Amino acid sequence: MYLRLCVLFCWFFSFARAQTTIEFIPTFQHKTVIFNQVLSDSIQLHALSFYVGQIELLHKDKVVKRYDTYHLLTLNDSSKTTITLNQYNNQAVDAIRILIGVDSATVENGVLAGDLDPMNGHFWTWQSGYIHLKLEGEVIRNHSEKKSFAYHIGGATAPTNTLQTVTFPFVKQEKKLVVELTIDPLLNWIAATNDYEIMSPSPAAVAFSGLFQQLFKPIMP
Amino acid sequence: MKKELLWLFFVVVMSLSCFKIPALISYPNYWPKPVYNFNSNPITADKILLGKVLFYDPILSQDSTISCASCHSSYVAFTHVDHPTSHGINDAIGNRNAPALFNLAWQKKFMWDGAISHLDFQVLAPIANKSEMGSDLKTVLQRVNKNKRYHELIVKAYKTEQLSGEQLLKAMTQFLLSLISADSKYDRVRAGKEQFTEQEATGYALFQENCASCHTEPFFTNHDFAKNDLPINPNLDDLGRYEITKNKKDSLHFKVPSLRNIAFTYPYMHDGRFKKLAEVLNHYQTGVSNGDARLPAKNHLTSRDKIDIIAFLMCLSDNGFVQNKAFQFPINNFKQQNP
Repeated sequence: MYLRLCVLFCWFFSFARAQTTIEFIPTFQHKTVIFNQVLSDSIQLHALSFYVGQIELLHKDKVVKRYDTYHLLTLNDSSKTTITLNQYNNQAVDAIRILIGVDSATVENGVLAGDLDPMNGHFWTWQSGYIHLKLEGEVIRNHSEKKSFAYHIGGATAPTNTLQTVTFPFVKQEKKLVVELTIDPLLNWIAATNDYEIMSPSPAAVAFSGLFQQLFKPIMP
Repeated sequence: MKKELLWLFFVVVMSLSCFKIPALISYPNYWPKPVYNFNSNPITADKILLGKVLFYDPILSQDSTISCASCHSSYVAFTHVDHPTSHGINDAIGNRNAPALFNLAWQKKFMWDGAISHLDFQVLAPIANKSEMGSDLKTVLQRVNKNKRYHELIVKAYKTEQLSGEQLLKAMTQFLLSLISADSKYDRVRAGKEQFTEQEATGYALFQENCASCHTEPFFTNHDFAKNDLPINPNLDDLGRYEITKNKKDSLHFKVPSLRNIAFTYPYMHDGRFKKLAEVLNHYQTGVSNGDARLPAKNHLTSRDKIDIIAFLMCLSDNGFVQNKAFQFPINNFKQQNP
């Protein structure tokens, strides 16, 4: 009886150890973003969602674990801000590499379920391809005038490939990795370009996607 | 030795099963294998039926007035003949001629500009297009899952009560995959069951010499994109494949359509500007200035040649396909109206 209990305990313990989570927290000017509330007297954010896929855990620049699944993170929905990585056994890991977006090979496989189901609204209908990242909100100009902005960034083949691979240190807080997603570079785009809308694969979308490299950093314990 | 042979047999059987074409999809032995991966969407009669009812159901459109069949009528090889370009809700007019639908399992790119790169995603385009159905997948799913017409169909097809987006798209894809047109006179001649008349045979030879580099047998398309050299319609301002690839080389390139069932599928070209085949042939003889190098030389064909080519093109009509009741409006499924 005791032996069975011990085996059961060990199994539960190993199962618990077999998972880790990554949580994404959006920030603007070093403060956590609260959606649909005015940030910094001039900007209101309504939605921020993006795909993360091809996750690779690295140790000394070598891949120790790779996950082929894709995850749709919707940071304006508190229930969709984390990724759970199964079969993770506390290997030595010092960095993580993620793909922001969904590659063209996945599209070539046809329609898929779960986070990749086109019903999630992250798939273009007028041409085949996932929207890698959506950022939507409003800018308040001249103290009262509101102007909407919407960036739907996609495109997975040249010359409008907007896929970005991002690498950052893997530093866990207790059992999870907490990643700050600072949206300042994305919102600075408006001031720099006066461009309030990107809705298709284009040179502007490619330039915008280059900003993804600046967005992610782990929050240190 | 016996063990090795058994292993070899096992490997061969497994390999064959990987490329198994479903029994519901049959085609002539001189056709290549389909490019659609049936393993990702195993064909069943129940899923085809579900897809067919969805294809004919106007609840896919925002105001429940337009179904897929509104622009893709079975009687004309699943295109429409009453407008140069497609039409949609609120009498909206689209900017392209609705393509005929058949033999889709052999195609990799869809739409005149190749915007859709997998058949599974094709129906999303008209559902969301504001000039066509003006709806979205989420709304369609909510309507379908609430509609009593679909309850039994969904349970039979997927052993579930609620259809997912993936399942809806795959079921509609199955119906589209089932639309195989392979019984024209041309096919029967290929099978040794019939013979061309003298005029048809002459037309066939002329066709092979002048048209077949793009309209390649047995599908009568090379599934590629080409410049047809039609002047741009200023009201449409359509740059074709360039709109998708942003590559200047693709400017004004449009998909090479299949010529099968061409007698049914007028009007012709991407914007439906020609009503008669003679107009198309005349364009390629007199209207082309910087077209595809594969086109026949200007004024190369005589009037007699053109008549003979058209006589051959009539041999590509598949009457059995356009009259096939299995593809037509499933009236029994629409007798029970949604409460």
